[in-house]
Amino acid sequence: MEVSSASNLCLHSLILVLEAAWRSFRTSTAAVFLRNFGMECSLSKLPNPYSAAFQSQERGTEVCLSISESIDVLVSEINHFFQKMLILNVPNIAIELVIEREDIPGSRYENVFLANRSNPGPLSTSNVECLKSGLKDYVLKHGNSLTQKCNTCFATSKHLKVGTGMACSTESHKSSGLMMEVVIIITLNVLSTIEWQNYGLTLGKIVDQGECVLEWEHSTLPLGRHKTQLEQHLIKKAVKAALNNLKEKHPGILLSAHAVKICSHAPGLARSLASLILSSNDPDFQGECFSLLGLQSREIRGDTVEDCIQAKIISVIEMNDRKSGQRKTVVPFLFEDDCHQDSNYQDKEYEEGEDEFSYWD
Amino acid sequence: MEDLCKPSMKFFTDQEICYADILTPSEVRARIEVAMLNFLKILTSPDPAISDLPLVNRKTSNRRVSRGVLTDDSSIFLSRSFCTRSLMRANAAKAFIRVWKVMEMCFKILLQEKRTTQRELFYKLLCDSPDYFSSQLQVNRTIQDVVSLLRCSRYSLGIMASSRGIVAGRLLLQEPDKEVVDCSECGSSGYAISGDLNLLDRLVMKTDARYIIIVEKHAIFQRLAEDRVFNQIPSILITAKGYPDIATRFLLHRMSQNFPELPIMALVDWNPAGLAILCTFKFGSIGMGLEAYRYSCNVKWLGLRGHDLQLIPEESLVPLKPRDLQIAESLMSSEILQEKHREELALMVQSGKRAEIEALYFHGYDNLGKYMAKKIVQANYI
Repeated sequence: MEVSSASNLCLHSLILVLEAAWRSFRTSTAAVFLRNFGMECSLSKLPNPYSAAFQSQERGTEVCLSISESIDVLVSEINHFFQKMLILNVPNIAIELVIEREDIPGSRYENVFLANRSNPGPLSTSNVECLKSGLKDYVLKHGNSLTQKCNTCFATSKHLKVGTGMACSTESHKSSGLMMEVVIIITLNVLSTIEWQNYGLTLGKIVDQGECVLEWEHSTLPLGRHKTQLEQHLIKKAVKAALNNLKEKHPGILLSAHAVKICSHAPGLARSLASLILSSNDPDFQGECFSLLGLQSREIRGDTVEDCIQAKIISVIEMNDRKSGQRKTVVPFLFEDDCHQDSNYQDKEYEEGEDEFSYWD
Repeated sequence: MEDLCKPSMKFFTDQEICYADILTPSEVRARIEVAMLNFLKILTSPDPAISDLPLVNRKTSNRRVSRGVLTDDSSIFLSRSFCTRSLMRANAAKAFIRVWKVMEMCFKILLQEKRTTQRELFYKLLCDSPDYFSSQLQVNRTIQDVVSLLRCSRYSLGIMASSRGIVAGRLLLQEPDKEVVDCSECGSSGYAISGDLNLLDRLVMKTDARYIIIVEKHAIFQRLAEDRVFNQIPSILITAKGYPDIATRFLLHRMSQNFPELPIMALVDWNPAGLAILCTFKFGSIGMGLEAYRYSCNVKWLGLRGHDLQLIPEESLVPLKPRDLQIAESLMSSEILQEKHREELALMVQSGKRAEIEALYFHGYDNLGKYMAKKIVQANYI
C-alpha cells in the first residue's frame, strides 16, 4: 500500500490506491517506509503474518530496526504512518509499536493502533468496503491530526461523494490473480485546494458552484516505482471503474468536459421551447405538452415549464455521459418515418460553418 | 437501359424531389406543434433522448437536375439525402439550438399573422439570443434549416425576402386596391419589386412588350431605362443587381407564366459569374434550398459572348482571377449546363480573359442599345 507522504496536503479529500495484495503489502511496508528516510534496514523473510494474526493467538510480524540517531523523529513518523494504515480499517488487525532504546536502559515506548471501532463491519466485509468506511472517517478528521474530527468542514459524511472500483487480472502462469481496489472520495468545495497532480489528476476548471471538470490522464496515475506493467494496468482500470462508479452514484458531478459544454446550452434551448409552448393559442396543444412533461395545468406559472424542460434535457445529457465507453444508443429523429423510408439516407455530419453553397449563390 | 437509372434521365416526379410546400400560417403552426410534441414525446419516453433534426442536405452532392419533357424548362432541386443537426455534438450544438430559436420566432410571427424580413429577424434574434446569433448569414442558413425541416417555403414561415430587384419598361402593374403603375414611367430607378411574395402573386400585369431582358448590373439597367431602350426594343427590363433573390425570380416566373410568348434574354458580363447569375435565374440555386426548383425560367444568353469580343477594345479584356476559375469549375461540374453555354465557358477559361458589358460604351453610350437590338433581330442568343 502507498499513502502519499503529502503531509502538507489538506486531508479533506483523498484518493487512495489500495493494492489488495495483502501479503506483499505486509512484508514491504516497513521497508518502503524506511527507505524514504534513507536508513539501512534488512528484513529477514518473515513468517506469513496475515493468517497467523487471524487464526492463532501468536503475535504478528516483528520488525527489528537498528538506527543510530534521531529516534524521536523516527518514532513520530512511524506513529503517523501506522495511523494512516488504520485507514484500511481491516477488522481484527492490531498493530503494536514497541520501542526500547539500548542507550537508555529501561526505556520503553509502547503504542497500540486499533482499527476504527466506531463502525465495525462484519468479518465478511470486503476489503474495499473496509477501506471506504476507513477513508470516510479519515476524511472527516481535520488536517493530518488523524484523531480529531472536524465539525466545521463537514457536519456529516453525507456531503462526501464516494466511488469504488475494482480490477482483477485472470490467473495465468504469469500472474496469480492480482486484484486492485480503489476508493475515491471527493468533496466539491475543497477541490481547488487539493494537489490533484499528486494523484495524477489535473483539475481543468471549476464551473460555478457544484459543477466541476476534472481532467485526468491515465499515464500519470500514482503508479509508484515498483509496479509491474500488469499492476499498473490494473490500477488504471480500477481507478477508472471507481470514477465511473462515482459518476453513476452522483449524477451531475464529474461530468465530462463535453457534457458540461452541451449542458451549457440547455437553458437557452429550454427557454425557447417553453416560450413556444406558452405562446400558443391552442389549449389542446398546450395541454398535451404539459401532460407529456408531467405538469398539472394548475402548476403552470412563470418558469415552471422552462425549468421542467431544462431538467429533463440535462438529465438526458448526464445519462448519455454516463454511458460513455459503452456503445451509445441510436438517437431518434424528430420526424422518424421520413428518414427511415429514405433509401438514399446518408448519416452525414453537418457541422457548423460547413454549409456548401454553389457559386451560383 | 443503364441511362434510365441516372437521376437526370428520370422524370421529374420520379426523382425523389424534396420540396417546400407553400402553406397557410395555421398549417405551418400545426407542423411546428407536431415537431414540438415529437420532441417532448422522445424527451419524456422511458428511454429519453434529445431528438436529432433531419434536414435535407443542401450540398452540391444532393443537387439533381430536372429537365422538362416537352419544354426547354429545366431546374435544379434537392433530392433525398439527409444530414442531421444534433445537440449532442459539441461543435454542432449551437446550430441545433438556432433551428429551435428560429422556429420559436416564426411560430410567434405566424400567430400574429404578421410577416418579417430576414433582417428584422436577425436583429430580433440578436437581441434575444446573442450567444447563438452573430451574423445575418447564420440567420439565413438557419431559416433554410427550418425550411428543410418543416418542408415549407420561407415565405410560409412568415419571412419576407428583402428584394433588391427592380423592373422597368413596357409593363403595367396593379397591386390589389391600388392605382396601375406604368413601369415605363418610373425613370431609371424603376419599380421596386416587393419581398412580399403574396403581394407579387396578386399583382395584375399587362404588357405589349415582345421581350423580357434580364440585366445583371444595376448601372447598366439604369442606363438602359434612362435611354428608354424599351421604346426601340419593345421590352421589359428586370435586374436583381447581381445574383437574383427569390422575389425577383418569383416575379420573373410570374411574367413568364402570364406572357409565355415572350422570350427571356440575359445581358451579363462575359465572365463565369455572369453565366452563374444567368444560371441562377434559369435553374435556381442550391442556396435557395427546397425552393430552388420552383421558379425556373427558360432564360437565353444574349450577351456578352465570345464573338462579341471583336466589338470591344483589346485593353478592356482583363485576366481571369482565381475566384473566376473557381466559379467556372463549379459551373463546369454541373450536368445542367447546356452545351453551348459550356462551350462559351470553356472559351473564357481557355482565353484566360474576362470582359464587362461597359466595354461596349467604347463606341458611344448609345452603342449598347444598338448592340442589343441587332442581336435580338438576328436571334443571336443561345
